[in-house]
Amino acid sequence: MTELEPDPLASAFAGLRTAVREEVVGPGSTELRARAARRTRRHRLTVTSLAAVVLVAAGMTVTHWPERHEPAQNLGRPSADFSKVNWSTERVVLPAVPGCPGGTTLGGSNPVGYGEIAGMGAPVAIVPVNCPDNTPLVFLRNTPGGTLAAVAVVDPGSQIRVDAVQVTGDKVTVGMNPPASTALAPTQQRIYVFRDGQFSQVTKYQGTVDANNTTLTLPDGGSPECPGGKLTFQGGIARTPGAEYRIGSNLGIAEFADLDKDGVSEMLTPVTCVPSTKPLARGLETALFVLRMTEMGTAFTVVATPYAWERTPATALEAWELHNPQLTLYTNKQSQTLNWDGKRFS
Amino acid sequence: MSRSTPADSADFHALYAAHYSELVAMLYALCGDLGDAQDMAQESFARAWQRWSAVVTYDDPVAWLRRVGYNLATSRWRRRGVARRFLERSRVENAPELSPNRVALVAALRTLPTGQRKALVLHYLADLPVDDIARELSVPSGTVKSWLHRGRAAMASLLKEEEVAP
Repeated sequence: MTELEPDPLASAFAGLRTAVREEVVGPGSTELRARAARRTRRHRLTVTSLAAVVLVAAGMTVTHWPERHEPAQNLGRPSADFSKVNWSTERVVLPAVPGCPGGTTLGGSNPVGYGEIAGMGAPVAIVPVNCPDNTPLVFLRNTPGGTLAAVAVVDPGSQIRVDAVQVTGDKVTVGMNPPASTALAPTQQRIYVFRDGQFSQVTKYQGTVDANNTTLTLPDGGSPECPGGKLTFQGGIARTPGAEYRIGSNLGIAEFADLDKDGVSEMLTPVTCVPSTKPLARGLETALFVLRMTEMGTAFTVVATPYAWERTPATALEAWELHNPQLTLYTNKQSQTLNWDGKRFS
Repeated sequence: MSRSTPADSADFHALYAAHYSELVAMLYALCGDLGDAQDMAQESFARAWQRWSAVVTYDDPVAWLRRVGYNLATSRWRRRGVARRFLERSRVENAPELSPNRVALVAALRTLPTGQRKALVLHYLADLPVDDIARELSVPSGTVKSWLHRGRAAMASLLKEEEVAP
């Protein structure tokens, strides 16, 4: 189609617009205002009633409890004003912004990023917000009046769980995972760039890699039955002449955390070893590895081994908890808390 | 909205008068159901009034309305139960029937990927230039140009098939 040729779609859409304008009679602005007012009154009444019920049920004792006990991953350095807000425990009501017509911060274990995004002109806090129709990341700025103003929104999608946010220049790197870590589902990284007053996503998903189908070089921990080595997993299983290795464990599944704070989550991954000769004692069949997705997003590498297979029954693994940056191992009714030192848990 | 003034009411009425039918047309083109489109447009304006003190300060309140409308359209299946209760109270008339040509246009749009459909709707029904569409959809301008190009080609083919079909 050249500049001189009429655009047939333009006339078709113009016809549609005209038809809707002529055929559709709206309720009128007065009716809509009244409707909104009725809804607001109902909402206030409901909230008041619920609050009264809760107070009575609690014997007039109001207790604050976080949704989850994991601390938020605080990435970057909060400015003085932002640091007054305890994002992990407080639910902050936020003003409307295009992309989120008002909402409340999630709190709990959800990450909070801080930074100075080139082009925004002031430090921002990046928080996940529960909006009416989605749960985007909202960029907040302090106003001179001391209140928070929402200045931008990035919505990675409702099926995605954001694990980490990092600001570098005009780039915001978001590390994310599927909502439930049912196995070693792909982790992802997306980068958004702030230009001309808006965010644009500049990287595609890097979540095509799946640790259930990948090659891992597991370190030789000195276990004669499970020596590790270069193992190719298919469907979460790798076989050698001496053993079968399975990603996952009956003690737990993979957990995600951005240990090195680069905006991409690492995975704490259990691998179960079943020797072909005789099974290992209970609790000794599971080893824990920290995996990192390669820069190309095509494979995983093992960066640390918090728990290897060479243990004795006295230190048989019973459970673990990862609260970034701490990993607690529960062995034989005892616990040991390790801290991530940048390279390993120690 | 706690307190409204006559000026607020006048501003809201002006926004409604200027953009209600445009929003209905856009949502109809996006979701393919004129009744749903009216309901979602009304819901968008009702939400705008609930937050009017903030919405009125935006550079482009219409963009906010569109965004709310998109979100409603996107999540309309999930929200079906909630929406039904509201809509049963709020629907004031049956959806009118449009001509077969208009219905064919909307039906063809429904076959396009979401990005192409949104880009075409914003371009042709909201008269937005490429850069504004890119800003509204949070994608690069090049992506919008690509969506428009592919969308136009697909629509031309689909509507041509419609013409020759018996």
